Amino acid sequence: MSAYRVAASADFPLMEEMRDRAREVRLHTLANLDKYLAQFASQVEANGGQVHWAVDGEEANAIIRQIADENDVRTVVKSKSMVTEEIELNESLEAAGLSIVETDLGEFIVQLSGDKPSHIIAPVLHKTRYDIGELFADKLDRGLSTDPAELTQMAREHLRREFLTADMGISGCNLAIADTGTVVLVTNEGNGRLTTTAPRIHVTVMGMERIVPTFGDASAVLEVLARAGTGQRLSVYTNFVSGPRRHGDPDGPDAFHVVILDNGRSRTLGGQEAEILACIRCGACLNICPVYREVGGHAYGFTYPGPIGAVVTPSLKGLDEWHELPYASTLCGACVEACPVRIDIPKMLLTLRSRAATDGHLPGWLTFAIGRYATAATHPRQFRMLLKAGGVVGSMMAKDGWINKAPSHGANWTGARDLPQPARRPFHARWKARHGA
Amino acid sequence: MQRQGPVAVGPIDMGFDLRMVGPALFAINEQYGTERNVLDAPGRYEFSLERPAPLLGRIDEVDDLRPVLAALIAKQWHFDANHYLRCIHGFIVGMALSWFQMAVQLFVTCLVNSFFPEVGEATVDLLESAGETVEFPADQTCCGQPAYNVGLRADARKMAAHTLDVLDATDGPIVLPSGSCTDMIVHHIPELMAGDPRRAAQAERVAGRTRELSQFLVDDLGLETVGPGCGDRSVAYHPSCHGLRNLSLRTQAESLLDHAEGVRRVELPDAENCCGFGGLFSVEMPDISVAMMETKLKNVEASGAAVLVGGDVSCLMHLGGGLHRNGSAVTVKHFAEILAGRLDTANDD
Repeated sequence: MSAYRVAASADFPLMEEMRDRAREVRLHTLANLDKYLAQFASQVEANGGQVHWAVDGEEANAIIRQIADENDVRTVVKSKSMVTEEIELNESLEAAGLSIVETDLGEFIVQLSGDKPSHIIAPVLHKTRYDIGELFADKLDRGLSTDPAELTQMAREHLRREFLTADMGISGCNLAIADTGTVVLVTNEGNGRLTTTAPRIHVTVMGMERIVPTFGDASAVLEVLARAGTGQRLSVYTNFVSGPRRHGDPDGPDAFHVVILDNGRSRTLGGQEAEILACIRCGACLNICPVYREVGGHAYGFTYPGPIGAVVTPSLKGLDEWHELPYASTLCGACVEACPVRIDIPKMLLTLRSRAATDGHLPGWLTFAIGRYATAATHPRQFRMLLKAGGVVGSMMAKDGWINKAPSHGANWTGARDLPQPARRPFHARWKARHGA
Repeated sequence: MQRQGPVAVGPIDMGFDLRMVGPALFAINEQYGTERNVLDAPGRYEFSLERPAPLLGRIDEVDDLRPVLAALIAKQWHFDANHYLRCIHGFIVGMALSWFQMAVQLFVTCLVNSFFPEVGEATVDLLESAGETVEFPADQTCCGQPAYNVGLRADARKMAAHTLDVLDATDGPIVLPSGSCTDMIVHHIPELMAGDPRRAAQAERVAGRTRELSQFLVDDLGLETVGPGCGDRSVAYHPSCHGLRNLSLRTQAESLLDHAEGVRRVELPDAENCCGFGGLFSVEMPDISVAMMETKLKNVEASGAAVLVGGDVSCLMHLGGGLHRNGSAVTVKHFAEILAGRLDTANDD
């Protein structure tokens, strides 16, 4: 997918300017978030919708359960929404006796297999068509196939019925437009459209930061979103939902609800990692990240994997539980290059690491070792002696210039790599020998 | 003032290019005929024809500039040189001499100092080949990057402050054979010192003079290449991440290698992918680090290169350690070693 992103960017001469513009839009919005949220809420209400504010996931789930209850909702269809995964909405609704079906093909597969998504826009990147073929044969009762087009058709037929019989549709929100009270949905499958039109109740769940001031601003973000995420100029469907069905509309829900979720975002907004809220959830950073490529999305342990997750998860959920994540990076910076809004993820990984260290989450041996090294590095004679000692110890442990088994934590290196022997004559000694000082 | 590249001052009647080091007020690139032989003392101007980047280099080796200047001026502008010589001679020599007094300060980095001193020696060779005088501030230790990257900012600040004190007591360009340490000094030390006005100013001063080696040779000195190169070798270049992305080191080292004698550079597939070292990441998350290393080493193998070359010994230590453990015949060198022709040094010398 990185190759597609690069090709799509090369194809679009204004890409760099558009990235700057999208970044400007997002940062400006974050700096004035209260104003734009207020504007958005009053516009939604003017359009005939209802706005609900939820401080955390529990409150959001309770609000949605209540909406379902008040409207005799039994069955729910859902289009893709990472924020609903974040608050575990499906589990909450199922516990209340509702039946809920994911309609994004990847999320549908995740739901059928009782799994979790591993990528924010390609949820079943970790499955093969053989896995999916077996799953569908087991759960959908339409026979066995491993051909992607056939499997998609099976899902489509199954889901079509679900759309047309569901009482409520729950969607996420790619972008909320403040000045018109519009929710923008970006899908490739059209499930966003069906989810928000066919059932009689539509509920949008949005993180409070997923907002832009105007239609023009939304356009700026949309120019770069699909290009960065999948290499498409635009996703196949882009839906703009501005309220329930109006008098004279041929279709649409009777009621439109927006649930605006905080869940740690307002605290993040005031902190050193505020910039992470500018994310437009394109997935480009996941695709380019060499760590993500090796470990996959599940290793990140929460809804948001990859570089974005390494910052978002500890920011929203606290470092106490998630202090390891910011260290799962070499700070290579490929994510900043890929990000359509140029978010400086390495910078935020470093601020998170600094707080993790201050909060005492670093292993004792590391803090001790660095502390000793810092003392040596601020006393040049000590430093030179340290290097000399290293040379002596190293030559005792080495064979033909290499150490293949280092003691203690050094074994983490020599498990799979040899370690070169520290020089018996370090550079400063050689310089001194040649120049006298 | 534009610095020019290495100088060749040779017997004019042999038709060599004649360029003046230093202020480069005269740049002549013509064949000389035999009607003028203005060198009274040809021995002083000799240089080796074998060395592809020949350097006599230092004005202080020239006893008397006047004949040289006379030839330059006369050839270029066809008028009486002596008239202009009286005015210009003192100026040029004075400028050139004061320029040469500003030596390059070598910040060799803690890893080069302790594990790869031959990279430091190669760096000195190259800088001297380029006409620079090299000084080594003796109390240098470590820029603080290992502590900074792990989140121990107080320790990082201590090391950074010491580094600033050592470097701020010097003048002239500060050159490092490492992209990541240069990035630390140029970008992160000023950030670390932001809360202390005196230290912040010091950090800005030092950052403004600090350059990575290939950046210095290519961007500042304008060199196409430097050093004798090596015997026929195929090399693949790995662009380390901090230098690549934070200092925009996208072409400099590759260009120096491409123009060097005997070096055949082959493309490294997916060159810009991180090698997996990441500082303490290499021992904190060793499984991921090694997995990334194996991916990089597969690409090195696919390139067919005999030597893996890079600009940061941190990455090279990690990749070289993997190659050696895997019993590979591929050797690993810093680009300074390739350019300086220092290929056969063991690392325990």
